[in-house]
Amino acid sequence: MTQPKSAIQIWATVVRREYVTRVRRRAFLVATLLGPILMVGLVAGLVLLTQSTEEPTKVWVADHAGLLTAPAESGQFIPTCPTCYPERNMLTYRFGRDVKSREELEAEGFSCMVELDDGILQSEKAQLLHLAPPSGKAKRWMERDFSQALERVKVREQSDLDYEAYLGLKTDVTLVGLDMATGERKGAERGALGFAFSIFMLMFVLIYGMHVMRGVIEEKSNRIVEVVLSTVRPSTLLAGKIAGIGLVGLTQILAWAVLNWILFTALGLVVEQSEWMESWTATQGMTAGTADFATVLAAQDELAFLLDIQWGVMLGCGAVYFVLGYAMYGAFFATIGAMVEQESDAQYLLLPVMLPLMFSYFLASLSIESPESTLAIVSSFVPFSSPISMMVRLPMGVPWWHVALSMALLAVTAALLVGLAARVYRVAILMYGKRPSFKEILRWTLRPDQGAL
Amino acid sequence: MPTPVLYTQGVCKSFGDHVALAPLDAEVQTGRIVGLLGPNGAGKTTLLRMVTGITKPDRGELRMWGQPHHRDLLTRMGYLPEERGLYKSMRVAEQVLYFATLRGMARPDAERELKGWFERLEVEGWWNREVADLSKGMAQKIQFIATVLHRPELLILDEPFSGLDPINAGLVRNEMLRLVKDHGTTLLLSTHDMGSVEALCDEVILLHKGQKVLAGATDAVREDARKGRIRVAVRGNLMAFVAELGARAELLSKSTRDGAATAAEAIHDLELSLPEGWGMPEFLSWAVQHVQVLEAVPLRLSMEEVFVQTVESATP
Repeated sequence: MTQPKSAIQIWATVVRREYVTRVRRRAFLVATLLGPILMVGLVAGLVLLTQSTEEPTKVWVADHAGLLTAPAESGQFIPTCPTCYPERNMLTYRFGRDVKSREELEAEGFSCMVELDDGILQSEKAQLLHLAPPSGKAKRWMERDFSQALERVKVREQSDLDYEAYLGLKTDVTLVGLDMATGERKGAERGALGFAFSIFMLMFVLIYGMHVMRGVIEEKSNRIVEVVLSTVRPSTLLAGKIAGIGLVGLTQILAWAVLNWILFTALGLVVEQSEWMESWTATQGMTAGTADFATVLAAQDELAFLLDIQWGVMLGCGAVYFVLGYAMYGAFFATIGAMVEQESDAQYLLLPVMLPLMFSYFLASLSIESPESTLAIVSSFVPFSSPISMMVRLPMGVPWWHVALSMALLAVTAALLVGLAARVYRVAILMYGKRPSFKEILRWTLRPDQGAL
Repeated sequence: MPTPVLYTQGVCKSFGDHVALAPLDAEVQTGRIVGLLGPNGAGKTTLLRMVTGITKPDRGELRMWGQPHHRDLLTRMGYLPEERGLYKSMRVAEQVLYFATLRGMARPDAERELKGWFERLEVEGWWNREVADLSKGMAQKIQFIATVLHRPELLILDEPFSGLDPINAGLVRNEMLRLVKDHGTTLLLSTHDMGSVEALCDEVILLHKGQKVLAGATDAVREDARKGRIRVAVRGNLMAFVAELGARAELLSKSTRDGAATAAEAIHDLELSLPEGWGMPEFLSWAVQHVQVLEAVPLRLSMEEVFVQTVESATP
């Protein structure tokens, strides 16, 4: 009734068990569903919170020296350059010569007061006194408005140019990076985007690596491993475990990608249909119906990056780097698991595995600012850090051969380490009562015993 | 002579400086129940791990069913190690089916067989239960099923009854005997429970410090270990009898029963060791000339006594 199975068939059976038992767990389902909901919820929350709950800012400008204002008929003051202060829903100005007390500001509905005097022409600094701090955007608008108004004053008083002529001379240089090979734009702002991916990579490698370790410890401490090894080669068991758990990781990545896509699309539809969208378009000074969800996201400094992601490249390369990086670190985690009988004993053995991971994370964070630095490039080739470091570089455009070489190096290293780990694993997994010494581990690695049949 | 299921010649295994198994020659014939005995650390587990393909011998010849040992032969065996467990996160039936498919069984066949086993071992209703809910005895029964489900020709059981109450132990024992009787399964049983060795094993192999110190049919082994020892009850003058016995045989122990009125009336229980060539009939015809022999039986050693005696005499 039984037919001996080939090594591949046995491996596939092990993979199936590792995969199915984990995917069926309630914790996996919860994490897989909750992850995207939290993420989309966060984005939606950011959009709604920053937009709708924002109070309009009403500013009292106390222009002591009359730099920017002229008296008007009714004892009021009007700006000398009305066009400098475009009409906005979220920001309005009132001008005067004197400061107002806190109570007065409060009573008249002002949220803050800007004090200007002669000194500003030299210092270029003014005081913003607020009852409630204005939003970052309102503050940036104010800074831009006052700069323009003061510039006009300076041009008028200190040169014989008119303002239009001055603007014609004024020069701001912006450098736009352009890849000569691909013709793509590059910018450091995309580094932050890549960094977000590298954090995900670190998280996945760590979480699923720990899964491997826990799986090995379970088999060892439950003493089930001896029964399994009477049918399965240790190397096949190890390879099956790493592959099965890796598939669980890929399933989660895929599920998150799909769920996120669905939820974002749904969120977009809901937002576009909502009344909130109408009022938002109005505050932005846009014609109703011209803006969609992407416009909303683009208007958010914190979220605009979502539109910049080349999802195909990031997910595709990310999956490959995850598989290889996870296999490499998974081999380490498995070896640690084989050496201990309970999880608590594994703690201090984890340090040598956590260090390179944490160091790569540190390197990746350095690469955000200078993605083309030698450090960033080298660390995206070194197999221990490449899965994490390359994720930072990817969004900025990387020559294809960099990616290919880095993947190849990683693949070779991973294969080598899984092989070495299997040597330690197959001896350590059957050892109870004592933890192998470093010398023993070295001996098993360099001079393997005859091992299984 | 039929081809033995298991045949070893000069098989040995060391771990570093520790010799786990000195060159071992052993044989197990088809359809027999063979007890593998020995104190802890005698090399039993090492031998079983070689047979089950977990390790390889350093040297020597290991043949299974007449062939050099090979991985494809592993599916013809079922192994229940002493240290055993189950995956806590799996359901009972899933777990057993996993092992059956690993050993090359088709899943529908395995499911059908499993239903029968669940009935025979009285664990119906546990099919979809979590392993974590199983009692220890229950888990042992499930492990036994996982070992035999794929109908192995050679069943290797290491302490199969540990953790089982007498009723469940009986259930498992009957199933083992049924497999041997109905399917011609060969059973290699490693245990410290000498009672079950006496009750079950046709043959024993006793290992000590990696060496085979005793092997043979259980009855023959027990008979040989007797070494001419007998127990007699006699009435008469003990002092005179012992003096007459002199160096003819060794007096191992003597005791006198209470309640006799005179010394000549007293009944004495003696244990004697008869030398080779002076058997029970010769001894009796000699003894009746001196005392009244009430009772004379060969001293039957329990397997436990055989074990202790053999191991002690093998320890310098």
